[in-house]
Amino acid sequence: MANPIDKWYPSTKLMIVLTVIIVSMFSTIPLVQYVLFGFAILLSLCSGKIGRFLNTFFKSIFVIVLFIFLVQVFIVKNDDSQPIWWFIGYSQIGLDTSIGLASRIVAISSIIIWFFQVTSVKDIVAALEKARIPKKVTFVISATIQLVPQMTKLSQTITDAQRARGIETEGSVLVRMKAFIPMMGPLVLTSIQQTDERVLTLEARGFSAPIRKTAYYSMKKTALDYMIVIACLLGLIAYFVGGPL
Amino acid sequence: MKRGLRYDFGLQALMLIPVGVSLNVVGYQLCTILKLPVFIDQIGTYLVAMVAGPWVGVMTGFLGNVVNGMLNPVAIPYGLVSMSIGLFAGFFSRFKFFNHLIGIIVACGILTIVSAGTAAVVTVFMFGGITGAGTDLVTAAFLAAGRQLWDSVFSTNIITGTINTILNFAISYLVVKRIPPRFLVKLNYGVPYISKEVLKHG
Repeated sequence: MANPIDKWYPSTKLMIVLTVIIVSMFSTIPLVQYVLFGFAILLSLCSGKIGRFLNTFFKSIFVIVLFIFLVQVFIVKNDDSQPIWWFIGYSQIGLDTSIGLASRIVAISSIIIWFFQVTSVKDIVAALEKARIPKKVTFVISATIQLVPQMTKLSQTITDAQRARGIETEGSVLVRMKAFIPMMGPLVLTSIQQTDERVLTLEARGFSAPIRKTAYYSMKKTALDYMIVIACLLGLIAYFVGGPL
Repeated sequence: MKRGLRYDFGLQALMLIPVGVSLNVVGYQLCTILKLPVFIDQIGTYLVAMVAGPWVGVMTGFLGNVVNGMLNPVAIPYGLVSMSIGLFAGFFSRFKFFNHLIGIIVACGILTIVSAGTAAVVTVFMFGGITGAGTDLVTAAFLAAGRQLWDSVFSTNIITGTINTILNFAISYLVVKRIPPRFLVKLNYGVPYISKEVLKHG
């Protein structure tokens, strides 16, 4: 059920991500980027998240890469641009630039997608707490992640309520624009009232107490985690000693 | 009241950060629901920066883009834009630019230039001038007219950014004005937004 990769310590996964980003930043030939992209796909295949990975990838990265090719190859004017039709021209330099740029974007963003798909926020927060990051920071992170879906739900309720009271949400741009304030206003005021209550609750439970809290949820680094981190470091050293490709 | 990096992160201000981030997300969703042609996705950053100061604003901008980045990594580098908006809006609020019309106009102008500049830097360096949104058509039009890449991206950002900045700012300003005084008074930067009559009675 639970995949072994999910159990890796968050900092281990972060180390992998950092290694990939550093290697990708310093490499100039596209082949390295393709290898890194393949590595990210392999990792998400091993984590059993390949479907979700590809879904996110095509939704966000694919469009931008496509646009980069179109603009760099056909529209940006380079020295070797050959006009085809009106403002459209073909340029080899543009093609080379866009391959370099796009392969790097693909390599870096795919490893980031992988990281967020295999690491739960709970784990990240627990790891941060263990690393003695102030609990104000960890609390804000976890509160943010929890609050976003809650607020989305609340805003849907408010939208429905305001529609029932006769606020027009269709029509010309100006009409739709006017609908924005009555939808946003109640949302902000409700949420600010809630923060007041939240502050009282936190104070009552000793959030500001200057001692270290004990956590119910615990995670441990295993030998595998150390091995992966060491492998990443060795890989980086070898990469820079051997001369960046 | 003491202000600055060390004093701004009180519990009350801290609780505003998640609210600001979710307001950004909700604002964006509302825009898509209402099919508006602009991006009203920085209301939360402006709001938090105005009432809780520049550093909390920077945090809000950064966290917002990281949360978006979990679904779409392209959003992460644009955190720089949100962070600069938070920082500048916070400092303008601190030096009471938002209390009179001239200050508001000056602040909006500078905010537009700053956000367009950072957005152009991110767009050109990270993505070769492309954002994957509809505004790319404007950039392409500038390029086709024979302008340089830098120039085109910056001009596009100024054009679309002016409308976005004004709308984002106007909505968050209206909302801030409606926040009850008993809440504003607890925040380090909230007092200028309380109406004078209330202050007189208090």
